[in-house]
This record gives sequence, structure tokens and C-alpha cells, in this order.
Amino acid sequence: MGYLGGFPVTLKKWFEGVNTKNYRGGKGGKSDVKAPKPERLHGRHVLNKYEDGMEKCIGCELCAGVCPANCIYVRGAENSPQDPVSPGERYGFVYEINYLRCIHCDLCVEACPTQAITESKLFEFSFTNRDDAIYTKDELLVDDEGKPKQLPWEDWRDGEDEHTSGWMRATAPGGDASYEGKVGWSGELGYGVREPEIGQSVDLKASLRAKQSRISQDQSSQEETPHG
Amino acid sequence: MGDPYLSDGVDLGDVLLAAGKAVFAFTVLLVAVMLMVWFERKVVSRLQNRIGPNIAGPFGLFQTLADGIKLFFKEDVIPTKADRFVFQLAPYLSLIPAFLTFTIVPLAGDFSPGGSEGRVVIFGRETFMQVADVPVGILLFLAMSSLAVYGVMLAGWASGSKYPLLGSVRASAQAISYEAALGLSLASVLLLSGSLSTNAIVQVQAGEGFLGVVPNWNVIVSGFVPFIVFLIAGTAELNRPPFDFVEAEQEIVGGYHTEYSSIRFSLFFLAEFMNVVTLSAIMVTLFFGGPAGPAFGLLPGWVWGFIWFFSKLIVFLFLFVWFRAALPRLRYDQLMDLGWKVLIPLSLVWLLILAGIRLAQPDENGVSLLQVSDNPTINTAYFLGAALSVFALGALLLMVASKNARDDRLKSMGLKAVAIESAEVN
Amino acid sequence: MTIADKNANQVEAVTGVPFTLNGQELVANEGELLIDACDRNDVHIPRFCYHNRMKPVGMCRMCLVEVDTGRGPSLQPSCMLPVTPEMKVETETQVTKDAQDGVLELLLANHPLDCPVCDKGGECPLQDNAYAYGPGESRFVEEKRHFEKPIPISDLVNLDRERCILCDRCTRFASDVAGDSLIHFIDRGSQTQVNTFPDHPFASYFSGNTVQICPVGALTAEPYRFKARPWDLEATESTSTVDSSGARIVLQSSQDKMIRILGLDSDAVNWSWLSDKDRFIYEANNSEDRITQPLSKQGQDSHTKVRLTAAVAQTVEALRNSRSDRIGVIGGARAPLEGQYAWAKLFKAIVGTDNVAAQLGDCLPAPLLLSLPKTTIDTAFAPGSTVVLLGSDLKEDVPTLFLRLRHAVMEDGVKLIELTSRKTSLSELATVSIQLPAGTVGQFTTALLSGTASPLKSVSNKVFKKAAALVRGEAPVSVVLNRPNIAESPRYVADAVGAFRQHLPAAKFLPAVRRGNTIGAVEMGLAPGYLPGGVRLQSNFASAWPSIPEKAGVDTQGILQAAAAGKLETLVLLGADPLDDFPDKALAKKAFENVATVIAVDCFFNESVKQSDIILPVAMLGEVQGSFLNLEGRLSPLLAKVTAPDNAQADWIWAAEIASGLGVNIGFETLEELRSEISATVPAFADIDWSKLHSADDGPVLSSDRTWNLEFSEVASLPADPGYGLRLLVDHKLWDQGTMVANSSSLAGLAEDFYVRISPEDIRNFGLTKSDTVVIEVGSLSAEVAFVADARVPVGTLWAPVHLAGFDIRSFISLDTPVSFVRIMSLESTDG
Repeated sequence: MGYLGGFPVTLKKWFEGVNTKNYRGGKGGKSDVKAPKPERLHGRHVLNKYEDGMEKCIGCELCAGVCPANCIYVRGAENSPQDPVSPGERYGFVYEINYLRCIHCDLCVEACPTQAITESKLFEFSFTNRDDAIYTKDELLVDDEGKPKQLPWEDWRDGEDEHTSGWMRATAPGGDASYEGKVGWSGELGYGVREPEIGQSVDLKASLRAKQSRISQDQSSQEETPHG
Repeated sequence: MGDPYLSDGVDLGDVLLAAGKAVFAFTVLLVAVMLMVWFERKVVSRLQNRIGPNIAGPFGLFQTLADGIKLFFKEDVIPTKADRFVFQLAPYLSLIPAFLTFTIVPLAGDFSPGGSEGRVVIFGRETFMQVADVPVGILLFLAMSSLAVYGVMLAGWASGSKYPLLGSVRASAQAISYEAALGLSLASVLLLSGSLSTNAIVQVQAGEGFLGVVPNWNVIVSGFVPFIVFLIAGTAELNRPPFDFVEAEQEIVGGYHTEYSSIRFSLFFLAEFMNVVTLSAIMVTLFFGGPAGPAFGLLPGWVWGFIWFFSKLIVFLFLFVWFRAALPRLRYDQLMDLGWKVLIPLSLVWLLILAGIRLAQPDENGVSLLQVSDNPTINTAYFLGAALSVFALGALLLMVASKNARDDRLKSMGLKAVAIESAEVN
Repeated sequence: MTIADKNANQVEAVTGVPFTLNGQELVANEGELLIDACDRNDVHIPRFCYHNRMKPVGMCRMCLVEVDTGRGPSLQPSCMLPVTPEMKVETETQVTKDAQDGVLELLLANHPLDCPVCDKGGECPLQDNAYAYGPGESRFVEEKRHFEKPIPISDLVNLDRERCILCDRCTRFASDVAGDSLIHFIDRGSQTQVNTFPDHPFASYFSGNTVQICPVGALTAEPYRFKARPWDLEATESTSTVDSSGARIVLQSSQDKMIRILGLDSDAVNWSWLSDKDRFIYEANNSEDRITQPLSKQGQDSHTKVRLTAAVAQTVEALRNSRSDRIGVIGGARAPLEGQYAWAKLFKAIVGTDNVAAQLGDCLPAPLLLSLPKTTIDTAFAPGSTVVLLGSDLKEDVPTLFLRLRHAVMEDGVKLIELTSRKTSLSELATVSIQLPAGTVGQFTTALLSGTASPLKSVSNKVFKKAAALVRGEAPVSVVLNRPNIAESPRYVADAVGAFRQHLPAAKFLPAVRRGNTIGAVEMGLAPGYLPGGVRLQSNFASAWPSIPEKAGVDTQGILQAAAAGKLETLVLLGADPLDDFPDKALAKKAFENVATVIAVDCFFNESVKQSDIILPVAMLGEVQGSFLNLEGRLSPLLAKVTAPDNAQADWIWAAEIASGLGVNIGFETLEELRSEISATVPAFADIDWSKLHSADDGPVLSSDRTWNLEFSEVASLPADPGYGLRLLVDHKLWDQGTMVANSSSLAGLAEDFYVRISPEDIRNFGLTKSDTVVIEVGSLSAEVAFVADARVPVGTLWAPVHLAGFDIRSFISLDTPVSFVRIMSLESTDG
């Protein structure tokens, strides 16, 4: 079409409608929607708990050691025998993530030996000063029902705390493809033992079939006690 | 002819009326500019699958106002190496010509057949719905567009910095290149209208058209080509895309207004959009009949004039915005090539053709200026042929000369001359 | 080095042992172990139980390599094999790799999955070797063995028995190197575990070393538990300032706080061993009670924070308003060398007073220290030498030197003659161990070096002759010198040194001073009558100093006496605590009451600082760069790793600021300028390359070209026994109420409470067998204290350690009496 080819294209765009989502930061009422997020998006971290309420974090500093952006500060401390915070000798006494540095690479999730640190899908958490940007353990830890804490400037919607770090369960602990589909992790407070995801195997159909069979197994065994 | 209310001497009422019309037009222009900015942003967004401003005011109408207020509060920076007086003067040099051009545009009026020829009565005085109806209106337009170049030129030079200097030099080169094409296509219109006064031009176009259905607009009468050339040249004059190399941020930061901030920057910004509105209005006036159009009752005639004018204006504004959305930017040498090598020859040729046809047209007495034969058609064909042969000769000479020049240049560089078709597009 | 002839019969006198390593022909040193020879040739053999400072045991089997000594290749532990000629070693064969793989698999079989919570993770040889040489997956699916964990085997060390790989390093260290056989293997088979004896915690002064050498996280230090990870740590080498041995250390910090100290293997000094005091004293840096802001009490009852400029101004005013001979300066032994020089210059050249004394009267006098011909530890403890220990228990005063001496005696055939006031930790190893009553050491040494019979009844002639033969024998003699008894006048030690000078001038000395940089202090002129470089006040001193005091000043005793008599206007304490450390407590108290202004440059509120008027906070170990002079005269670097808190500054910066407040340019503005000035002023430092001092190598030993220029008057006579019966022996324990120890949270609880020790025979003689408290009486003073029977105490001596909580034995020490005699009696026999 030469020079005039752009005109029909752009005019057509007018009639295609807008792609802009009417996102108002959570303050816009019913029409305030977010663009749909991929299922395993890397967002804000949460520190998980076991199903009996004990914290999973053992203060081992592996996440801080592997972090390429040096944004995690961890200090461990001894668990008091009368009132242990985590099962074992050691728990995370100080746990801070500096979100001004975090690049959401999830290497910390990969490194954690207890799956204590996982990432939800929330990335709409804009703070306005540096103190707010450094999330302390209180803010990262899930609450008593296992749900992430919702800070005043965060815009949580339904479903953003599901499938946290689902990509980890696509390959299983350590990211090894040969463990795909095998549950190798413990249950989490509020969510139970999370399902293995469809993973990185080449045979996608096989993993889909496996997932279907797992789902139908779950449905047929609804009366059993929940996981974990 | 001039404005009727000035024909019988000037008294205080006339002066007040003139002042009032000026203020009113100024206000209308400013509001139009504001809305134009909004219009552009909204339309460009829609053409790009997005919403555009929608927060400041309903549908984002106050966005321009918000931007203006923001710019107002910014720090006014004058670089140390800048020539202070000229630096401060330049935005006004851009702004004022735009407004002055707007004064000659007829905004409303009943030009329908049997109407009042555009006259309305305000405060007991009969006047046109334009600020001034100067007998040399179009000349004023050309003069003002040349003056606007000064604003750009001086802004860049006075900034004392290299990007603005480059930008302004390029802008002024661009402007004067396309002014020739502008003027030549304008000449075609003038040939058909026979008058420099805008009112007269509109009146001519309000007349009977072809077969009674097709309006007598200059765009049709002059054969579309002058309009096309005027449109392209006008876009280049305005530094609008695709000719906005001058202020392209990716290329030279901000061009001539790099060093400007706060109010002065907003003045340049406003001036640019004022020019857009003004030029669209001129185009509507020159080629599309301005306020001319049938009046269908219900409303006073002059309101219909305004409605027609406004709708035509909107189309052009939309066209300019569409240009921005659809066309990639022309590189500077492509821009220059277009202006010098395409538009000027084209408009010149068309002028020749039109002139030829006009010469061959019989006047009221049935005799044309140059009567070669009695049959008007043959007469027309004769002169057309003459004009075209002149053009062909000129084109041939030009092609030969350019080829020779190219061969010489390549030989001086030590390369063999390759056929032009297989040469790479530069 | 020549390569021996291939003909096996013709082994020439070569200086090396030829062998083949992985096909390459190399030469090893004589007697070198195979594992060391391979290390020297850049072939790393993994190991766990081998430590280059201990004898190998071959327990872990990790160092197995294929060795062919003529009968075919076989797997041998390379740590136990000295290189023999024509040995063929292959370290990369499949057999070797299978062996390494198998050893690791078996070690990991019962090893718990503790890595995330184990302190050793990240710096763990087991992790590293498993990664490099081990199997990628485990076949062990059974239940691992379980022990209760962790158990604290002492206040400082925790034991996790599940993690132990039974390498025997800790037990070997404890018994062979430290001499405290307090931990060992118990049980058998897969239940073998390391443990302590029942009711005997691992209360060794060297327990921290086992934590450092343990290849897994079985032994962990309580002060460091869970504090940080290896990747958090930033490190630098430095020198320990706790005692005068100058042990080389690695300072590790995280987030600008000192987190850990490790021992650095210094071949000349400490061989990577540290005492627990060296190792954990960094906790004082982070103590909450530390003084970090200048304080002032002028006129008021309590200290208030003042601005730094105000504090300096007040100090300057106090100094200006005092006559220069009415200013006394005590201390400086804790400061780095550069700080000491700056203080000396400030007070002697600018303020103009010579009443500057670094020591607190509980050690040897400066003239004595400065006149000693010194030697290095390596030379003194060279195999076959004779060492005379003339002083106190080295294990309490300079523990790292104790380890070196113990090794020398046990392994290198060094003969030790002990001339101490009581039996020490080396008594059982000494060739001759002689306990001398207080006041007799001078007389006895003279007899030992020149006499024929023992002058004391308590020492038999047989023992005397044996000792005399040794000391007058052919082996070179070195003397490890110390103050044996604080309650005894140092004149007697001076007499002993004089005896050496007279009768054995070739003898060299190691002044094993207890307090940190004392040697540096006296070398830099922080002693009355001396200028930097051990130069006497009256002699020519061509230097950059603007002036020199005309009159010699007095030492600590003189300063405190002047203060007590009301003749001292300003007393400056440079990190010294006379109220707690000066032997004559009453004198010190009176001095503080009668002195006008006290200025303290210190970091904690000890007794003396509490009574100071102006307190200037000073930077501590790891916060300031400087250097340290140890007992050999070796210069070691002190490097900085953390920033000093708030307004705590280096000593030399305080000195420079006070000088500028007095209107005089002290002559240097940077550390480099200060060091150049030291090099220019002190001849011994003229050739020092300060920039090279920062490496981990052992520093240069300054030439101690000293003449025995101490004037010795005639030997002091033995004091007459007033009939009390027991002589008081006062010395230090390693853990006491000293400022640094008391402010280190993990060490403060280790100090015992006060009790005296009496020999069992005396207990019987004085009828104390049925009681546990005794009444001590000196003159009109008496007190009831707890006591225990201790066979180490000779008959006729009462051993009372100083500076412990519960009772201050210094009440019974008076400087007027050169030897303190005490009367003891049981509680029942006192009146009322």
C-alpha cells in the first residue's frame, strides 16, 4: 500500500476498542480491574507456616546468600525450648526484604530448604518511602489463617495468593525435571499441600493427563481428610 | 470589499466592536487550542487501542488545563549562554502570527444561496463573522506564516545550545522549503477565485456547483492537486508528523524548544496547536468553502454557517491527528527531497495547467483571452498541450541534468555509474 | 636440590626425597608427609582429620591415595606417610576416586541434614569435599542415629554429636596441644561419640580452638551461634591485643559489627591457636555499656554527654592549668604502637611532663624490660635448648606462649627449668620444677648460676644440682620472664635478671608480659626517664620533638603517691584502671581522692573511669589501624574492619587534638605521617616498610640491640620472717574481673569467685582440715575467706588470685613491705 498503508490500519484500531484496563489502584469501584496475570507470576514474597502454625523459616540465610541483588537480610536465633517459633533449633529472628532492590528472580524460593519463602502474584505494592519498602518479617509472614498480610498500600485481589511459586512445583524441589509430578514439599497453613503443577517435561500431553487424573482422584476422594 | 461596518467611517462603536471581535476570536482560538490538544490526545489514543487522558475532568477534558498549570509552576530556566532578550521574545514571535492569521478566517455566516452573503448584524452594525476582512487576506496569511519562521529560528539561536540551534536551522530550512509549494498551490486557488479576500473566496465557493449537486468548492474546481499539495506543505509548515523531525525527541532532544521551560515552553506548545487550528481553518476556507453550505431552517442562517465551518474543521483536525498516528517520520533528506523535488514542480505544473485552462475559458462575452480556435474544448486542449509540453521539456532537461551530475559525482569518487533503478534506495 | 640416582643402591646425600606424583618426578623435603608434599606441588588431597599443627592419626581415611612403594599400588592414608625415595603416588585413579566417594558416602550416612541450621554451613570441609569428591546422591534410606543435641560442653562450646565424623581433631588438640584432656570418645561402633567426663565441663582455656579445627559443625562456639553466615562476613588479618604474645588473628565482621575472631596460622608466633580470651574478647566491642560519647563530670555528681570539642577543651584547660611536673599519666599498654608514640610525644614533648608510666606496678619495671636482650619464640624454643621459666603460670598470663612452650617441651626436646612461686601447668612437663618462696628468687638464681648448693631449705641439693647443670650446660638458655608474685617486690626478679647478666650474659629473654602492648608502650617512651626507642632521658635525642622534659619523672607508684599526698593536679589514665589493678589498693584510693582532675581515655566504666572527671571514648580492636609490638619485639599489624561507634576515636587522634588544643602542631595528620615520624625518630624502626606490614606474613623483629644498662645495686636481702608463717602469693587468673572480660557477655560469667589455696600440709599444720573458710590477718587487717586445698601451692605460701569477685586480696598488699606475710587461722580460733 505504500505510504497510505498506515491509514486503514490505524482507523481499524479505532473500532477494535481499547486494550487499556481500567485499573484504579483498587480505589475505582467495581470497574477497577487488573489485567489477567500469568499463573506463576513472580510478585511479592510471603513467609509461610506449617499447617500447625509453626513458621517454616529456619533462619539459615540461604536465600540471602543466593540473592543476586543483596536484598534479603536474615539473622537466625535459637528457638527457646518452651516456645519454639519453628520446628528445630533455629528460626529466622530478623527477616527483611528490601523491595527497592528485589528483582523477583525467585532464586531465594529455589534455595529455601523448607519452602518457607515463596512469591505470590502481587506486584501492585507501591510504597512512597524507603522505610515502607523494606518489608520486615511481620509484614512478610502469613497471618494466622495462612493468608498474606495486606498492607495499606497494597492492592490485593482474589487469586493472587494462590499458586504461590507454582513454577517450583512444576519441576519439584531443586528444579529437577525427573521429579516432576511428585510431591516433595510440606503443607502450608491455609492451603494444605499444594498440587504439583504441569511442568517442564517435553511430553506436555502426558503431564496434562497426569494432572487430570490427579484432579479426578481428588474429586473422587473428597471425603478423605484434606492434605497435610 | 472590506467589512461593511467600516465602510461608513469609524466611530467609537465600531472600535469597540472590533476590539470585542478580537477578544472573542482570541478566546475562541485559545479554547479551540485547548480542545485541540485534548482532541489530538484522545484520537491518537483511540487509534492506538488505548484510552488517552480520562482522569482530569470528564473524559480528560481538563488535561490540557492541568498540563498548563503544571507548566506554569515549573522553574523558568534561562541558560547562561542564552541571549536573554531574544530568548524571551521568541515564543511570542511564534504565537502572534498564528493569531493574526486567524483573524481573517470567516467563522460563520449565511453564505447559502439567497442568504446574506455572510453578513450578520451585531449591535446594529452589519459585519462579517470574522475579525477582519482585509482585501489582501491571503497575503496576510502568507506573510504571517513567514514570520512564524522567525520565532523558531530565533528561539533556537538564542538558546545558546547546540541542539536547539540544529533544530531551529533545520526547522527554518524546512519551513522556507515548503513555503514555496504552499504559495504555488495557493496561487492555483487564487487563480480560480480571483480575489485575495477570504470573504470573496468563500462567496465564490458558495456558488452553483457542477450539475447543481456537487458544491463549487475549490478543491474540486482546482482539480484536487493543489489541495493535496497545500495539505502536505501545510503539514510541513506546521512541523506536524510526518514532518516533525524538527522536534523529534529521539533525534535532537527537543529541537528548538529544548532549553525552554515553564510558561515559555507552554507558549511554544500553544503556538504550535494554534497554528494547526489556524491552518485547518484556512484550508477549509480556501478549498472547502468555509462556512458555505445550505441552511435548513430551524436555526438562524449564520448558525448554519458556523455548523458547516466547524464540521469541516473537525474533519481536518482529525486528518492531522490521523497523520500523526499513521505515518512514520520522514527523514530530513527525504523531507527536503519531497519539498523541493516533488511538491514545487508539481504545484508549478498544475499552476501552469490551470492557467492554461483559465486562459482558454471564454469570459462573459464568449471570448477567451487567447483565442486559438472557437471551440472552447479545442482551445483548452491546445493550451493544455502547450503547458504540458513546456513541463515535459523542463522535466526532461531536469532529468538529464541530474543524471549527468550523478555520473560526474560517481566518477569523481571512482565508482562506476550504475543504473538508477538498481541503485539502493538512499 | 639434586635428584637422586636411579640406582637404588646409590642414594646420594641429597637434600630432598625424590618421588613421582601423578607421573611427574618431584622432590619432597626430608621427613615431609606425603599430603604436605602434594600440597606444595599444587595437588590437593582431601582430608578431615589431618591438621598441619598436630600429629596425624589417619582416622578419617579421606586422604587415601594410591601409593606404590615397590610392591604394587595400594591405598594409603597420605597424611601418615612420610615420603620415601622412589615412591609412586597416583591421586587421580579410579581406585582413589572410588575410595574418596566411598568414604564420603559412609560419613554422610549418619550425618544429619543440618546444613541450613548448622553454623559451619558455607565454610564446611565436609560440604566442600562432598561436593568435590563425593557421591551426588545418597543411598541411605534408613533412620540415622540420634543423639540429644546440642549439648553445651562448656560455657563457650556446644557439641552436636550427630554431626561428629569422629576425626579426633578436637580430642587430639585438647590432650596433645593444650594439655587439657577433657574431651574424648566414649562408647563404640556406630554409637561412638565425643563427650566430656561427667561433672567436668570442657573448661579449657583453649576450647575455642576445637571449634575452629572441627571439620564439621559438631563443635560450635556459643558466642557465634546463629549470628551470621560465612558469606555475610568480611575479614581482615590483625593481631590480638589481649596479651603480649601478639597472636595473629582474623577479624570477621558483618554489618559493621565484629562477629568473630579466628586464629591465623603464624609460624613464628601462635600457629593458629588462640586462647579463648583472644578469641571472644571482640564481644566487648559490641557491649551496650561501652562509652562512645565524650563525658564530663566537672562539678556535678554524674557524667553528662558533652560535645567532642568541649571535652577536648576541658582536657586542654586542665593540662594548661597544671604545672607540668604535677601531671601524671598512667597507662597506654592497650593502645596501638602509633597511639603510644603520639601520647608519649604529647605528654613529654608538648605538655612537658615525664611522669608517664604505662605499667601499673603489677608487672616488671620499665628499665628492666628495656634492658633485656630479647629473642624470638622460635629461637628460644628451638629443639634442644634450655628454657628457664622465671615467673608465673604462663597458662594464665600468656596462654598462646604456654602452648608453644608445651609443644617445645613435649615434642622438641626442650628442657624446661621452672623457677616459680607455685606449681604451674608446665610443672609436670618440666625437667626441673622448683617452687621458691616469695622474696627468694633473686638469691636462688644467683646461686643457681654460680653457686654450689641450694640456699633454701625447701629445695633439695639434688634438685638444685640438676637444675644448675642444665642451666650451665651447653644448650643455649632462654628465659621466659614474668612477675611471679604481685605481692612481692619486683626487685627480686630484677636481682635474678642481674644474676643472669653477671654469670650468663649469653642468655636471652622473652618478657611474657600479661598486659597487651606493654612492650610497645615502653619502647615508645611511655615510661619515666625514657624516650622512644629505649633512649634515656638525658642522652642525645636528635629528633623532631620540640622539647624534652628536663627532669626524670616517676613511675605509677610515684604518681599515685604524689596524688595521695595532694601534689598531683591532673591525672591522665590511658586505658588504665589503677583502682582495680595497682597492687596497693589503699594508695590508689587515696590518690583518687586527693587528685584534682582525672582524665580517662577509655571505653568502659571501670572503677577508675567512674571517678574520672573527663572521659574520652577510645576505639578498640578492629576499629583502628595500627601496629603491635609483641614480646619478641616483633611488629605486627592491627587492621581495622569496623567503624568505631559515635565519637570513639583512635588514641593518636585524641593526642593530636589535645595537642592542637594546646596550640602546638603534633607533627602528623595521618597515620602514614605518624609512622614516618616513628621511623625517623626511633632507629629500630628506620628500615621498616610499613606498607608490607599488612600482609599475613609474620612481621619483622625489631633489633633489640640493648646493653644491659640497668644499674643493679646489690642484691636485695631476704626480708625477715615476722613469724606469721605464710607468704602471700598473688597472681592473675585468665578469667577475672578485668574490664574487657567483664564486658564480654560470654566471658563475664567464666570468672570464678575469690578463694585462697593452701597446701594440704599447711592446712593440717594450722588445723583447718574441718573448715572451708579461713581468717587471714595482716597487721590489724583481717578477713574471712573461702579456701581450698591445692597441692600446687608450696608449703609456707598462701595463694590468692587477684581481681576476682568476692574479696580484694590487695587490701593485704602494701608497697612498703617487699614480701607480704600473712597469718592464717581457723574461724574458731579467732577471738569473738
